[in-house]
Amino acid sequence: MADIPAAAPRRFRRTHNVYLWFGSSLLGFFIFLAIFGPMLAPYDPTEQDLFALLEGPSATHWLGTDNIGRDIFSRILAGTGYTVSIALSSVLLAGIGGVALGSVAGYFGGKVDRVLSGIIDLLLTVPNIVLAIAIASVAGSSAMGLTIAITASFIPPLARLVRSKVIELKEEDFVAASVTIGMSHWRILLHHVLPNALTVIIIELSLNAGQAVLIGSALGFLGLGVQPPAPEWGTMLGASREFLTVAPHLIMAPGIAISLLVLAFNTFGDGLRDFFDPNLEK
Amino acid sequence: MQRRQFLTAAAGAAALAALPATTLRAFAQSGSGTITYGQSTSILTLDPAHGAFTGYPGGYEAALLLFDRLLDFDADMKIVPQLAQSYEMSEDLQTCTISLRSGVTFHDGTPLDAAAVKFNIERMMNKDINTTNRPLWDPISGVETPDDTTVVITTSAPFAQLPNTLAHGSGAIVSPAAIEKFGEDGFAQNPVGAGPYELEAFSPGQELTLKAFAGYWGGKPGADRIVFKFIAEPATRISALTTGAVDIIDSVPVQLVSQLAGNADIEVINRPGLRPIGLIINLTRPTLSEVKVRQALNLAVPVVTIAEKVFFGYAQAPDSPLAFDAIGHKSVGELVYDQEKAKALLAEAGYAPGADGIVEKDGARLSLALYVPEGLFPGDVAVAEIVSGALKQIGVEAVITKIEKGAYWDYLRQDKASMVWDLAMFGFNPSNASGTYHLASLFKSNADDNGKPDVWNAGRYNNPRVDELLNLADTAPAEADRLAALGEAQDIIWADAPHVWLQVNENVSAARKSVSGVAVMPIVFTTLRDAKI
Repeated sequence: MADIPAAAPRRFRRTHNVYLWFGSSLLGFFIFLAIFGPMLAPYDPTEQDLFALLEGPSATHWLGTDNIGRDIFSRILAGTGYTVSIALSSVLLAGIGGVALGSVAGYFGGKVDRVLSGIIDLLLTVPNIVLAIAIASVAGSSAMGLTIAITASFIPPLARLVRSKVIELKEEDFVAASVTIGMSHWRILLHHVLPNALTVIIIELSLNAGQAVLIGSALGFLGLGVQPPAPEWGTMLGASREFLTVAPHLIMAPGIAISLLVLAFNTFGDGLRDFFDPNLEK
Repeated sequence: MQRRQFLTAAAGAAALAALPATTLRAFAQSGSGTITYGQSTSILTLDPAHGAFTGYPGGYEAALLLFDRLLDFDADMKIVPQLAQSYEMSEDLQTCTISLRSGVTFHDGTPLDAAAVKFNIERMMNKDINTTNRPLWDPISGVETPDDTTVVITTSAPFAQLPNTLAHGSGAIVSPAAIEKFGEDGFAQNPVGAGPYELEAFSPGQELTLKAFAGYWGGKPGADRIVFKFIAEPATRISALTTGAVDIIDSVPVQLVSQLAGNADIEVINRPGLRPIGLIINLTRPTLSEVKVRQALNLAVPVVTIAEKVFFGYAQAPDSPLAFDAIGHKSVGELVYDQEKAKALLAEAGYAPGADGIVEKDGARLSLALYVPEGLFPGDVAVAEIVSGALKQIGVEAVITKIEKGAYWDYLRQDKASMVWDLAMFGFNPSNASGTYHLASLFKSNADDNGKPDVWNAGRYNNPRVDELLNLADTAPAEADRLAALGEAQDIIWADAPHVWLQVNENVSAARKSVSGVAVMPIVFTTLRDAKI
């Protein structure tokens, strides 16, 4: 199989893959915060102190307080869970949807392909953030709504990718051999074609996760995020905007948190691609 | 080749067609004596009928310059004559005799006489043509014109608020000839009135240019031109003002006022509004029909702190269901923040703290659905979060649902079976400044509580005595009796606490000091009628 590289370079890439190391460590850190963040938070993220509004960073409030006197550091920690889980669950769901649609269209071809590809192409004409906004405004402001919106915006491009990979693999000799020995099409698709497309899918999904964080935060920024007083980063960013000139620290914390998480997902994705893709040997 | 030539020619023609309008406009603005106003809301239509001036308040602000009305509000919301020279209400409050200023003409040169006024009032009475502001116009039953300068308006029942209706923005007198010329559909984009400024150019949703009307009865207006520009973002408005791109801006967010206050070229103009913000309490819920629970909710919210801290002092805690400048406002009480008393009231109502700190009665937790729009009222979501946090302190859970502002009104105005909220943020701006109109819109019992609310009594408040008093406040022959009735109604409503009273925000605008005479009226509007440059 073309996708499996020779042993030596693979070990080399595994040990010297800076992206993968950096990405997975940063990602691991965020996942740790997502799980334990609420316990580490020094304050209740919804506790207000109306006599300590818009305060800058200090020893009592490491990242300052927001417009109704809540501790920003605690809110960032408590918010990690929302963003990470929304990103991960949406790429997982998009993975299932995109693979199902793309592989069926690619493998079976003909009318099935024309109908499915038509739908996919139609959805691809709508920019994914616009599609996500439309879906989020119907699905409502909740973590579930955000996840559905992001998932739906990822399915079309992923389905397109999987379809072309499956069409490519379908022409391989091992598929023809399987057909010859009388194996069923579903069995060929599930046991022989898809496992060979898995690498591409995993890389695409890991890169999508960074995108998911951005779209989720953008939706939160636009007011389509979770319900208040939940501390979602994009919503925090949106609420800070009014105070940009008087209390810039409000926008820094969620802004930096979002950037770092996107960086984590993207470098992890890049690392994975380097790890799996033999064509990128330097 | 031919096809390409055709395309090039077509593109060129389109570019040429687009050019003159923008060039002309740029020219128009470069002249001296132009005041540019950066508005937070866009102007879409300029007809008092057919949905009235939109968007709100941008459309009304332009209408105040384009159109004169029979009567006007002065800066303190007192009613003063404008196109009327004088007016007199009959003893039975059913007839108003108006003597018109003579020699007034519309921008199109046609005379503004009794016939034109009759045409206008009958147009506003027509339910098919004028669909909004109905409570202002429904009581009117007829208009007579004994001579060219006298108009007699009759109402079907005593209607003390008739002068308020005539002074309201929708009392704008439009040119009947222009309605004839542009049609009922076309007038909103081609408004012709008798105000100090006339239309020069209008791109709905973007920009409106008015020029001084040479034939204005009141003499030459203060500027040659007034340009209304729509600038949605507060930060953009502020930088447009500080750089001098615009001379006036409205709706300055209170947290940014401090930036402007330090600028020697800029004056901040602020005035408490007529719109008290509060949470409508859903009285159809058995838990909330208990007055002690409602009073407890009111005691639990630190309203004064919200006004001072969250709104930087550009808001006040109300002392009545009416805002301070509403006509007929009476100070009826003080909002006290007292958690212990609130808890005691809940205990008296039979509630005891449950395992999770939320109070319970007969095993049911006191958990309320709090609906709030985003961006409709000042600091709406932040205030809801504070209320929710404050209620938790007395053991009441308030779960916030944030609704996109465009969809919010539909959530509020539901039939009884579809009411999803227990508390819903709301603020009513009585655009005719009448306290009676305000209270009647919010607290007069609905004809059918199961259907949609008649006006804004969305919480289904029902107190026969209040109905009686509000009726009296509209119909008693002597003004003192009307005010007394309105005062007593405020007392009762305050004690019944059908809302959680929150704050009265100030309207904050700002102008460059090169422009004088800009005023912020309690009814939201920033008015440029007396503005000079």
